[in-house]
Amino acid sequence: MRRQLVARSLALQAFALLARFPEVRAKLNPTSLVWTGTMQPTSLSRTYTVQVTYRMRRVPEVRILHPPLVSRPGESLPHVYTDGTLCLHRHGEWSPEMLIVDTTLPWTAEWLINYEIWKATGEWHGGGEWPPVAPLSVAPKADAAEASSRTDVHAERS
Amino acid sequence: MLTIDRDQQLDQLLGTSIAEFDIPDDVYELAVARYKHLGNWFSGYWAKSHSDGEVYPQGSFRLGTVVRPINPRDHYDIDLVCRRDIAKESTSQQALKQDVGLGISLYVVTSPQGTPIRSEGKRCWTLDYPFESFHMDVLPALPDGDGAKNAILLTDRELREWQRSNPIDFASWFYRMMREEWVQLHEGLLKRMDVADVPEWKIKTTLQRTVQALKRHRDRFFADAQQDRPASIILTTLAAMGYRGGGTLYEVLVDVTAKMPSMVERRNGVSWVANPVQPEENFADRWRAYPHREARFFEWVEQASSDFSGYGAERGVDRVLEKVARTLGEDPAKHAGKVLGSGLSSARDAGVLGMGTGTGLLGPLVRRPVPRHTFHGDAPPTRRS
Repeated sequence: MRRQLVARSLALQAFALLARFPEVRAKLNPTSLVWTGTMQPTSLSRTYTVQVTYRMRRVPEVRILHPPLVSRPGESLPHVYTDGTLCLHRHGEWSPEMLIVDTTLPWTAEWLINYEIWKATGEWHGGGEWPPVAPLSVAPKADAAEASSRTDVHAERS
Repeated sequence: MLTIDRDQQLDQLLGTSIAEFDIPDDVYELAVARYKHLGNWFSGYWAKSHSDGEVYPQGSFRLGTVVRPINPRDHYDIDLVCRRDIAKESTSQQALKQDVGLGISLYVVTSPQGTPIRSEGKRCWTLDYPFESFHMDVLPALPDGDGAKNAILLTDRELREWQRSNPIDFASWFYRMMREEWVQLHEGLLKRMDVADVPEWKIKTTLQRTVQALKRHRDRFFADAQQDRPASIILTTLAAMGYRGGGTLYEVLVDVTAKMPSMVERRNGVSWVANPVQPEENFADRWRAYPHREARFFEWVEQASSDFSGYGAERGVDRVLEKVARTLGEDPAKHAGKVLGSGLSSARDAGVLGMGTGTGLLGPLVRRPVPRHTFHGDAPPTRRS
């Protein structure tokens, strides 16, 4: 019964995505959905190839496949996880009953336009929290800090 | 304003970039208060000798084309005419200059607000306001009995002849060239503000924005050779002459700069930019004494034309903003980025931001609003190149 609900939820996400973006690809299997499509956040913007991977009980993961994201000299990309996926929301702002097409995708479009503005000016105007606040406890080694931060803040993805 | 039209978005981006050059409201209002106070004082001063006159702004302050100085330590330069209504035959350039200078000295010792300090220039008296970000150049003048109703004669201590001018009629001509758009914008402002006293000086037409962009581009181009800069009056005249009315800001920037070289006339072998309200006056007169300035003018126009055309050839908001930063400065690019980015965030938070089907284009709401969210992250930024 539980598995059936899971599968239907993935199918519903895929259906909603394809209904709004009919010319793109979506790969659906019993435990995951991978949607690859193009998005142009504003009419002056580039067209980006975006991949959304959704595994049940996790939050959707978004990657920009093309063109490669470029940072400013000496700076790291804002609102990006260390694995290169986009940080679009705080823990709890997305839940499985939400449609990816109504949340993750427009948030991705917002991320992309703010990325273009940031790339030219060094200023991020999309709001949010960056850089992340370091934990108050004694600072662990860098690698461990990244891992624990991911686990604490984004438990759904760990 | 949210838009999914490419030309409109480019116009908004360029318009908000150029708006960064605008004189801030508080500085503008303070400057108006200061020159009105000076004008009122002069009215009283002249009344004692049973004559009349007027103090009024001329140049960019009157035309709505003021541009913020590139160097923040530099002051806004506000040009004022101090017209004393006496006949040319009853005075001399030197006497008029001294008369106005005396008036300004007496004004200064009344300790008016802003505690201005007087100094003398070639054609004017300058009032420096040590605690303000502007100074005022006051040009002594008298009516030109041989000219049009608003024509005046100015003094110049390096020239024997009175200098003819007519800043009021020039401004009227400039406003006529953009009348249709100005009226439309004014009506729009009236509807939005719903008040009788609409601050007309806040209206900026495409032509005014174009002149501001030209002036800033010129200031950057001639940063190391300021003495060679073409005068603002030349840029303003040629831009207004080349403006056909209508068109996007981008189109007008490109069109006007493409036409500017051919609008410089040749009269008896002399390059001529005629004052449209006094055609016998050549705004480019100094090119005769400094021919290399003429050559530099044409070099600059070519560069401006190429730079402005480039805005429309770019794909990627970052590329457009980078080009704005290179050609007009980083501050206008940052301002335009801020207006665009913050505008989208505000629209999202207000529930009026939507996303286009099949494209991902953010724009006015047509279906479901983009829900609120908080961009986040997982690790302190690491150094990447």
